[in-house]
Amino acid sequence: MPTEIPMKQASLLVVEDDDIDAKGIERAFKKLKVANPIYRVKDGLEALALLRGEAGLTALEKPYIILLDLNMPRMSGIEFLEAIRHDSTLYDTIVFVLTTSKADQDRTAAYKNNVAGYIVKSDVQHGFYNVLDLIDNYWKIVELPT
Amino acid sequence: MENHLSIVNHNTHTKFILVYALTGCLIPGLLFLFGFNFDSLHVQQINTENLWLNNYALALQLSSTPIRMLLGYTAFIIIVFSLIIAFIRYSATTDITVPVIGAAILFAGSLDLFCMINEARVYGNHVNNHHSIAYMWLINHIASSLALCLSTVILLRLKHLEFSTINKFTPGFYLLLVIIAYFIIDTTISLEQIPQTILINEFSARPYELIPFGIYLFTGIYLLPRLYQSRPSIFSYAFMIAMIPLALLELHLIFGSKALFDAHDNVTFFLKLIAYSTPLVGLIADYSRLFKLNEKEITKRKNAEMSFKQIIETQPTPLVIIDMTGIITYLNQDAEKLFGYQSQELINKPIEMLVPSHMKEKHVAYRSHYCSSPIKREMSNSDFCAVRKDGEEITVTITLNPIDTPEGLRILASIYDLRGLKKAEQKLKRYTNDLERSNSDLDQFAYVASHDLKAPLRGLDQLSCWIREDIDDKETLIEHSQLMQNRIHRMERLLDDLLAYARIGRIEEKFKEIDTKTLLQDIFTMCSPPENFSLILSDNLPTLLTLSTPLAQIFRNLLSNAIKHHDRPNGKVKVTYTENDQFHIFAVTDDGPGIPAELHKKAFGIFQTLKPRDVVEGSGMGLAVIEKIINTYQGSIELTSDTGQGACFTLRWPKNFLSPNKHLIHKDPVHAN
Repeated sequence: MPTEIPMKQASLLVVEDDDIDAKGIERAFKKLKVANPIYRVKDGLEALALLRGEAGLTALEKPYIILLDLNMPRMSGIEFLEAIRHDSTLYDTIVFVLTTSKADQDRTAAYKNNVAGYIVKSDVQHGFYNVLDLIDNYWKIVELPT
Repeated sequence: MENHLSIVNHNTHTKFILVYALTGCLIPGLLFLFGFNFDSLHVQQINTENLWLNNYALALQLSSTPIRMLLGYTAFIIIVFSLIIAFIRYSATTDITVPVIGAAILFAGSLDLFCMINEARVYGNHVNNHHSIAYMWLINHIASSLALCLSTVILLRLKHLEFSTINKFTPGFYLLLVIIAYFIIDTTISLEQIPQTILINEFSARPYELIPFGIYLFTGIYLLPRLYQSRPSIFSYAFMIAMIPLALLELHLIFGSKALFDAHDNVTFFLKLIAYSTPLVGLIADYSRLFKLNEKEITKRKNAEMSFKQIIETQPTPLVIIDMTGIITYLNQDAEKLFGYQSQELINKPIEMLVPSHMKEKHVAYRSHYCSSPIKREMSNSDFCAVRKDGEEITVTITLNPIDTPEGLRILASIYDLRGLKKAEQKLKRYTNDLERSNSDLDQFAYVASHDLKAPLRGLDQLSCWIREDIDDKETLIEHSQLMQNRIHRMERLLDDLLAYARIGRIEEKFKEIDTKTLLQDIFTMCSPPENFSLILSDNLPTLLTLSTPLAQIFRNLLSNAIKHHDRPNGKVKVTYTENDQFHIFAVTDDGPGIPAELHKKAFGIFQTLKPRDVVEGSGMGLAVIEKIINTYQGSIELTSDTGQGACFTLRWPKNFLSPNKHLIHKDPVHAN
């Protein structure tokens, strides 16, 4: 078996306005001893700026997975999804939605914008361990767009 | 219709005519029984025992000759009179029986007339020729009966004869008949050799009279019933009945009369009078029927008119009736109310009184065009206006209906006042708007309740979890518990603000005099701004009598936003004032970071924050509350701002208010309570 060419490590971008939720994700990350880099921004506009390398930020390098909250100030998750799906370089981004919203309209809008999964926060037991476990497995098994 | 009516009503009159003719036939007999002797030949013997009775009989006897003359002439006058009445009566119904039979009767009457004259002439010349007089009367009877028979045949044969064609020739033809009658009699009397027609001592003294008798009988029994069937009228019926006295007359001559001027001979004059007056009686009966019918018709019409007026009056729609020249002839109470006029101010005035001056000219043209061919039509131009007495123009829809009235054709205009409809429409629109807003509020509420209100709860859940996990790490414990407290306060605040938001417009606010300068100053202080933060107020900030609580709420939210979202501790907020007719205009300007243009709309939504609550604590309800207040009290707010340029909120606060149930609130504090 040929030796695997070490891939560039995938990173996780957390788009979340709530500090506690962000902290929870971080805790779960630590607990699972995932070594991948993790970034956090507080709303859709910040996320876009980071991905595009605007406003004095260095663009986040692919591959990455986005963990997206929906209800945020300035630019909501759905608006962010619409923005990246119409963006010539960001259109193929893997996005998981992690939200408190159980509203049908949100779920429909999210899947319409081709999210990889729609996860409701309150359904997740044991903090965000399961979610992070899923993401850890996901990028171990799935080839991400580069 | 007319024909049918006359048949139905014939019954009583036909009986009357029959009774008249039969009684008339019996009268000579009855008179004879009472001692009246028609005989003018022999003077009766004088009865010395009862001188009075004797003289009376003598007087009666002597009177019989002038009576013969009197009856004869009267018969002729009756004929002329009947003809005139018959023509008047039947020219309307164009019944050709009248002119045709009229001709025959006139002919017969003329023959009689000339016979009478010639009788006198014969006496005057002392030509005591019994034969000539008897012969003259015989010819007369034959000619008359033939004329009557012939006229009936003509009527039965020529069914399509037009009244109008006959009528044209009538006067000339009648004159001709009279002349012919004269010549017949004149020729008869002037004959050299006059045949003897009275045969004394025979069974019948005047057997030739059988000829006219036969003709009368044939006409009366065979022809006239058929005529009556095909052209039923009182005139033709009476004519048929008239054949009875005529036939009876002939019987008197055939079997009774032995000589000229005897009783039977004289009785014929009386019977002739009865015969000729029968049609007149029929006509008079017909007239009385018509008169009664007319009276009934008039009553019926009056009743119809009354109920028509009642219907018009009780209609809940304003109604105006105009004649074909545009003059108002009638209007109901609702129309009086609508236009603000009294009925007598409008009656006999042109309808243009109710048309606004700028439309008058056009209206006259429209009206005359419409009146030339009136049909049911609706005038529903959207800007069709009528004008009230007080000058107010009202939008209306008018339906026009031509109606037949006893006074002629009229136009009935039903007027629909669209003001009520318009008001209702506006009201409905307002309600719809309110409902739509309330529905979308509810939607939004459901959404945010599941989202923003849940977020702090989720945070608490996690924090409690972490506390358990990190129970040994005292430092993180304190940090977590502080975060928990923060989440609890946030939750409380969200709920409070949401409640306040829901309450906007549901409370009847009170008017209070407020000095806006002091108010703004107080609010600014209460917001506890950083030490170097300054509030600049323009000098012209007014003292207002207004709904103070909502205005204060708006100022509070604007000022606290300006302070909270400012990126420097030495920020400035400036409040300036202007006004127009409707609004007090306040401009609240800060020199903070500003709001990007694309977020302006979003900024006024429920629970919308510019920054995460963990960065700048806030419910995100401030502007939403302002917008709802503004919508409730019909003001407006406008945001002009962009990134890095500060923000300016221009508030237009109304001078007059509509209450939440949309009634104008008076600025009088007593009323407001």
